[in-house]
Amino acid sequence: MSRAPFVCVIDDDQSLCAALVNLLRSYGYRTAAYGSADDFLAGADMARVDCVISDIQMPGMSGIDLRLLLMGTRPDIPVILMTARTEPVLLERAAATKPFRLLQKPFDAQDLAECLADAIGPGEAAIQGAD
Amino acid sequence: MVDDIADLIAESLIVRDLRGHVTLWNRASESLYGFSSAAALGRSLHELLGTRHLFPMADIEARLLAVGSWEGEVGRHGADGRDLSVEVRWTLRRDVGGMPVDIVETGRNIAALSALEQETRLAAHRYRNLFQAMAAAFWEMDFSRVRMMIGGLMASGVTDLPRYMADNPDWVVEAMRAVHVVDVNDKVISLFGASRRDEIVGGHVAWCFPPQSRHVFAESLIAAARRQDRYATETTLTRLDGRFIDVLFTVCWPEEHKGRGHVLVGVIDITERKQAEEETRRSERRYRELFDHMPVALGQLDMRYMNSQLAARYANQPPPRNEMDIDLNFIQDILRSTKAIEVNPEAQRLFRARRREDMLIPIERFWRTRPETVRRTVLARLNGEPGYSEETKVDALDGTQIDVLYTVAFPPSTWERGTNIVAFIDIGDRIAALARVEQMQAELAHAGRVAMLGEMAASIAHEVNQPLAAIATSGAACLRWLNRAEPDLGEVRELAGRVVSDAQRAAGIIARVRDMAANRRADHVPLNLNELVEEATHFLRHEFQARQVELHFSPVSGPALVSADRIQLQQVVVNLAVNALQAMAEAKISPPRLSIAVMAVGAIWLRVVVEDNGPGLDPATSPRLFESFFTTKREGLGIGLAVCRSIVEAHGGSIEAGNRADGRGARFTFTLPSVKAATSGI
Repeated sequence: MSRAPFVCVIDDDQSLCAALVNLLRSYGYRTAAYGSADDFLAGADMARVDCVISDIQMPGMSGIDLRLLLMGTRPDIPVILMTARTEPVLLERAAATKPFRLLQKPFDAQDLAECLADAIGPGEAAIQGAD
Repeated sequence: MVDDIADLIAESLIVRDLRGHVTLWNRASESLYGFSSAAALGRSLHELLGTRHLFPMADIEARLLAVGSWEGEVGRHGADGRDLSVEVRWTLRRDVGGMPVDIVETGRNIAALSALEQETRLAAHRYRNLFQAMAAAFWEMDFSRVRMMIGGLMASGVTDLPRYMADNPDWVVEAMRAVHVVDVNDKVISLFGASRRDEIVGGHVAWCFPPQSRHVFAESLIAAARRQDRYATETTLTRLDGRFIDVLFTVCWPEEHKGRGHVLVGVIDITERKQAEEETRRSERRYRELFDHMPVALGQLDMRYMNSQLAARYANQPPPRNEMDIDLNFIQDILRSTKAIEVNPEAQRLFRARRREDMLIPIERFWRTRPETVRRTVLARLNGEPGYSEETKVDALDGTQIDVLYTVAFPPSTWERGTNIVAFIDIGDRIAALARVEQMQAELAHAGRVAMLGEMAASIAHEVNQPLAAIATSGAACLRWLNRAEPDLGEVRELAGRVVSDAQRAAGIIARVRDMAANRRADHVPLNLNELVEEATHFLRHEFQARQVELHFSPVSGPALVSADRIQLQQVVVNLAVNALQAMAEAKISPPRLSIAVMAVGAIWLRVVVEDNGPGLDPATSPRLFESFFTTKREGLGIGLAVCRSIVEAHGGSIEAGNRADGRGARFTFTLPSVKAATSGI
């Protein structure tokens, strides 16, 4: 039996971060939360992560820069970017880095679940539910 | 030797030197005055005899020195103290070099003359005085030979005298030579440049008629032949030195002179008058050319009605200090009764008049849009200003309104004549250019505001979306925990708490944005609400004028004090007024009317009511009007009324929107505690 996929959530908004981790948990994913891209890169989770969900605008390294970095070092990891900003310029720049998905906050939980399933397969709970 | 001869003369003969001391005193003088020659010689003549005259002796002697002779009646007294009335004739003697030497006097005791002789002499004397004293130059001429010449012409069959004289200029010159000058007065001497009387007296008159004036002489002969009793014309004569003089030439044939063939010719110097007239004509011509060709529209007005009205109303009171003190109806009355009497071509162009006459009408027609300009002109005039000028609008005859620089001066000379000139310079092009610039600026400012608000909206959206995203995510997670076969209420409880706090976070962001929009630190001081509101309307004066809005402002009586931040409250008034203007403009209301009133509500509240005659509010949307970002306007930002409410509430008041009681327009009111109430602490 394979272990459930491991998802890292990176967002400086603690409340969203916590809510997102909780939601992913409800789907049966293993999760970890980080307040910044720098914290994530410094931690040990880099080695075993299956998918990264990152905000774009954060103190320190932005989500876009993180995506560009991972493209070079771990192109196998799907990166899902999310943002509450609406400026077209910013959204174009984000899309240009070809993330797995670009989500506009607030997003639909179902969308996120489908997106994750596409990227790394369904979480434990979904697998259990499908049984 | 000389003395001996002098003694033979029956008349008194006295010679005095230039100092007035007697140098000769004949026997007749001894018997007339009673002083012996020995007693008189060397004495001052006037002191000795007490010579007196109506005019001061010094004046008479000055005249004597100037003219060479004087005669008149003087009062004197004899050695025995008797008063004497003596007719004297004084003649100045000169040496070979022409220098005055002494004065020879002959004198006769008038009392010794017969009464008849005295009377005759007196009349002759009066005539002589008159003749000499006249400002006119008088000639007494003997025309008897000319009459004979005319008689000769008639005898030889000439019937048409004027024709004959016109055809025979030589005959006219001959007639002039036939005239004999009998006498002239002093004025002739000076006017014609003679130094002595005999340069003229005894001669003819051909010299003084230049060729171009000979017809005047001919015409005067014809007038005489036709038995007219006088003839007068203006002409040019020649002086002895050859210079021309413009004169009024008159000939009359006094009844008593007719038999003798004597005529009296009067010549009055009008050279100066002519020059003045010519100067006037020249300056009028210059003025006329200026008037016609100035690239400025000029009009000449008949000011008599205005002058009389101003005099009647303001004669016995100080001039008004403020234009509002002058009733506009009074001005309108003046405009209806004041006519343009002349306009130049540029004025016709500016006022779109087809013919000059079309503009010679009461000026009320040109001042329909801005009669206030005339009111300010009158104010300036009444306050003694030298003139008045302003940029204004005038009404052309085709109904268009034209931007002009209007100028009028109040020179006393023209006002007294009852006319005045007003000038208009077309500044339409300039105004249009300015308007374009202003419009561009307004568009830029609006674009800037929109851009700024776009940014603001984006950052607001970001800030609000953040908690919304958290709430949505928490909500979705909640549902998943609840939908399990065994709902995990612990997870749900934690998430629900998160939802509540994220919702509060969102509300906090909205409140912060609202505060930011009204982000000045308020400065509350006691202020007069009447003044504050009226001042706010001044910000919009141009807006009102541009949209031709009728503004009615009615203040509340009494102090009307509120504790307020002036700028914030004025922002509220301006915002409400601008909303009203825009609503009325969009609905094309004509004429747009805005009424702003300050009123008391009970003892402790003051209320400002802003009413328009626009389409009014939709009852369905009016409850949402004060919400942030709610707008019914295409380009509206939806922030104005929300800010208004924040401001009013920060002042302890409330704001309401609705429609007028009569349903014809919107009505916004805000109510504030008055200062008494605020300080007494509600």
